[in-house]
Amino acid sequence: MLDLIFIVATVLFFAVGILYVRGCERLSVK
Amino acid sequence: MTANGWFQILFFLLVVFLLTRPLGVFIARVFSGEKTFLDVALRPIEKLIYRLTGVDENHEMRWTEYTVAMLLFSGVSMTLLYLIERTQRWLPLNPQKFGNVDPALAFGTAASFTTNTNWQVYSGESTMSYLTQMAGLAYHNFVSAAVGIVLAIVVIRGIARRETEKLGNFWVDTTRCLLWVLLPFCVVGALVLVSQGVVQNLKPYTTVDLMQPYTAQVTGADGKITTQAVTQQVIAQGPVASQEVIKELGTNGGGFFNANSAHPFENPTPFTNFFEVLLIFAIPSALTYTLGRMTGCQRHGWAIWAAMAFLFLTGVSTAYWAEAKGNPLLAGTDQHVSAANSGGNMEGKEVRFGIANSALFATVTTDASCGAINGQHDSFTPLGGMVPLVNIMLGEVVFGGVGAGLYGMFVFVVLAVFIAGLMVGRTPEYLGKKIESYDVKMAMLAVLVLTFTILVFAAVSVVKPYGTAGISNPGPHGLSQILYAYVSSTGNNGSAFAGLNGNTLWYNTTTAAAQLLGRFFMIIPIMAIAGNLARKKTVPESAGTFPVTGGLFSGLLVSTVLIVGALTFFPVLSLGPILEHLLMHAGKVF
Repeated sequence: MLDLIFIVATVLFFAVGILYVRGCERLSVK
Repeated sequence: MTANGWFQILFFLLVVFLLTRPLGVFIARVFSGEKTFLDVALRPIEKLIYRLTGVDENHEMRWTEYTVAMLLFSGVSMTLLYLIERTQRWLPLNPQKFGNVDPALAFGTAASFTTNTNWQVYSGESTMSYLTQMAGLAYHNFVSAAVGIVLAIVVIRGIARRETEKLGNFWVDTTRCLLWVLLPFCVVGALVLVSQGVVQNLKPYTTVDLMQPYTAQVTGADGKITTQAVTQQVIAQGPVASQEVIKELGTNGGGFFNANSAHPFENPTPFTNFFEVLLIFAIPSALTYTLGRMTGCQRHGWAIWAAMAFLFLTGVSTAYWAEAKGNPLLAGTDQHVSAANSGGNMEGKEVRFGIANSALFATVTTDASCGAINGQHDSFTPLGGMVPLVNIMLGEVVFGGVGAGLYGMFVFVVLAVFIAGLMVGRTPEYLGKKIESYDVKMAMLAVLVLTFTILVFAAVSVVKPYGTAGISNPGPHGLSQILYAYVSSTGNNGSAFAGLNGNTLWYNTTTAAAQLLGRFFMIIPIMAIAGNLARKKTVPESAGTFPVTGGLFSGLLVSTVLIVGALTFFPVLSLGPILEHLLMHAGKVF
């Protein structure tokens, strides 16, 4: 169970990272 | 303090200075596609890698594509390391038959090595199989270092290029960094270490009979203390040299052994000690020259080097002075230097290295984001221990981690020229590029993520029982232990104030979160600045342009680094090491 939680947490973190990249890019376009 | 000690410290800085130019030129040539003496051997291998992986080496990426590629690469690598740790029991190269690593520890370690932190709350020699050490941990030592270096190169390209969206190809840069920069130097460096006595084998541990058996008190499972005769010792060994060299060259810091560079199999002689601290600073120092060369302003590279060297000398002088002075409460003990006495505070230090080399190692490893240690920072005097703490708090920009030091200092450069622009009432410029509100906003995001992560996690830990349960000393020293854990994790350093028990669910998960936030959420806004700068036109220098080449700029840069660090962390330092220092002089220790 903990294995699943940690792997999902890893995937989520890097997904949020990609969203952060898009957010920074959108801020520069404005 | 002794003349001999000072000679060794200054000689070290001199050798770093002498290495800066040749290594900096070499790195610039590698990433500019210019010819190097290694091309004959490595270019065919590079082409084969691209053919096998389908990478188009002529495709250049925007900053967003580059950053996303880096994030995906790091995420997949981290997951693979986690799986290796969790399955090592069934995998080969495990002569000691170690079990699978506990999930929370495996997660913390995977985050730690992916982020170049190498925070270790386990003993490598009693936890990790040889396969995990080599294919898991040492692999990450290489690739996390390569990621740091290529991101610094992207920042340099962002400054140097104009009116373009293209900043290079992540896969090409990382491959070239591994093949040209890290692997060749590590092969040679590992052989140097082996020649000095660092072990390199895949043998099972050796059990030997002690020449002088002794008795020890052992606590059994029922809590009863019994006395046992100890007649044998297990000598741990393994593929140490190959991991040791990248541990320092890549400013990773994770030791094969728990004792890290205090262990004689990792750091057997005074020469290896000098060699190892030199490896830590080699690439970060060289990258300042690479910056100057690739941006066409060599004096700017040297101005940054000078600012870094000043901060390094300030730190090492303070640590050396504090440790050489000793502990005033040990009034009856001879703490003066003599032929038979190293003097000063020798608690937690290797007698082989003494005070000067321990202070030097502690300063260098925390100036850079290395985290390797040859003595226990927890045993330093309050002010001596504050130096490593402050070094990391400043963002590890004093030469810093490989690549991370330069792109971290780049944030302070942006802030420094912004402040200079405010003072003279002009739009700030940096090497011909106007620094505008977007750049400053991104720079502040990079600074704030570190501050926020450190202070929030530390604050929760000092008020919650699951946080305070980990500390081994009460009072201000306990605060320093907790603070150091999050400063070290967020700064991706990895060294520890060894008294903290970090192998708990709370510390494993929160330090992992701090490492990931401190690494990637700092990188993203910096990459955004690089992408934004690359798009801009170059404006000609005028009489009102603030020069970024001389002593004035170096001074402003040092001031910016110190003021940001001091304003942010001075309150918590007052409650930790500064209070402990004052109480020590009042006769109280922790």
